[in-house]
Amino acid sequence: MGLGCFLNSAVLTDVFGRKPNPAGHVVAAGSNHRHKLGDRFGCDSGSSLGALATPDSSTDPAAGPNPEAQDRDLPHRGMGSNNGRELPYSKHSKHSLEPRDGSGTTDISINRAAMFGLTIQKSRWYGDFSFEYAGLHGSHSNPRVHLNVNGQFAGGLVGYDV
Amino acid sequence: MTGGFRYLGLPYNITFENFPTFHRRPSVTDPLVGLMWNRQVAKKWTLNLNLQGGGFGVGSDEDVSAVGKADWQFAKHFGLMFGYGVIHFQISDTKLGKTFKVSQTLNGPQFGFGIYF
Repeated sequence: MGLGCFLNSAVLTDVFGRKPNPAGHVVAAGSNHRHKLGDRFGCDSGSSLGALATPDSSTDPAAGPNPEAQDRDLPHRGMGSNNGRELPYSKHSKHSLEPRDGSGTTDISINRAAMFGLTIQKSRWYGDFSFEYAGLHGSHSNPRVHLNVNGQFAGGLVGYDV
Repeated sequence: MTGGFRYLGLPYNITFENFPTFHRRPSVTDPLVGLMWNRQVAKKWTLNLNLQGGGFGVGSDEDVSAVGKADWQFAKHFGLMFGYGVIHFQISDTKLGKTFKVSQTLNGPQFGFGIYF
């Protein structure tokens, strides 16, 4: 008879969930997305990579409250660094992944969703069919990445009451 | 006793900078066997518990699910469903001598609107 959204929310969890690194920062994604369908439905959000990589003012006096100083530092301290300390990702970012402006946002949205279910009961027989579909999109501005996922879930069963 | 199938498809495409778009269409279809318990506990309420398992290496290596539902038929031809489901599957794929294994457990609530006829 009915079917729900649990798979859809699960797809979001798997595809777009990013866990913070052990230091508690999201290094590459720019946003630590939470995974509840209700939180993410049709929403765009993200946090600045530059903000994540803001230099530690205790070790870099020039990076204090002066935004211009921070902007100057971002191209060198963006995605591949953490408070001036090199992260493993930076070894690769010196090539094609080199950030150009040190900032970016990640957005995620559900573009389409459809669900259908049918249950038939007749005497001792039981039949059930369900289908769920979710079209998801995620993108990031720097590096420019677009990800489209069309999750499909279908199930059918026939039962006999013994 | 129940028997059936489950299909899970996750086609995706990725565009990275100016590189060509990357397409893949991974999917699995699993045969399932299981047990279902269905009982009308009140005039308007029916409980349903469904346990299924399968895969057997046909699609997934393992595919196990458990779903509990409560149907509330508040009118002659209409009802609401509330439930909770858990599904676990394990998929492995070997390419170029390397085995890629996915072991995933998903869970969450279910809500439905029913039309009785």
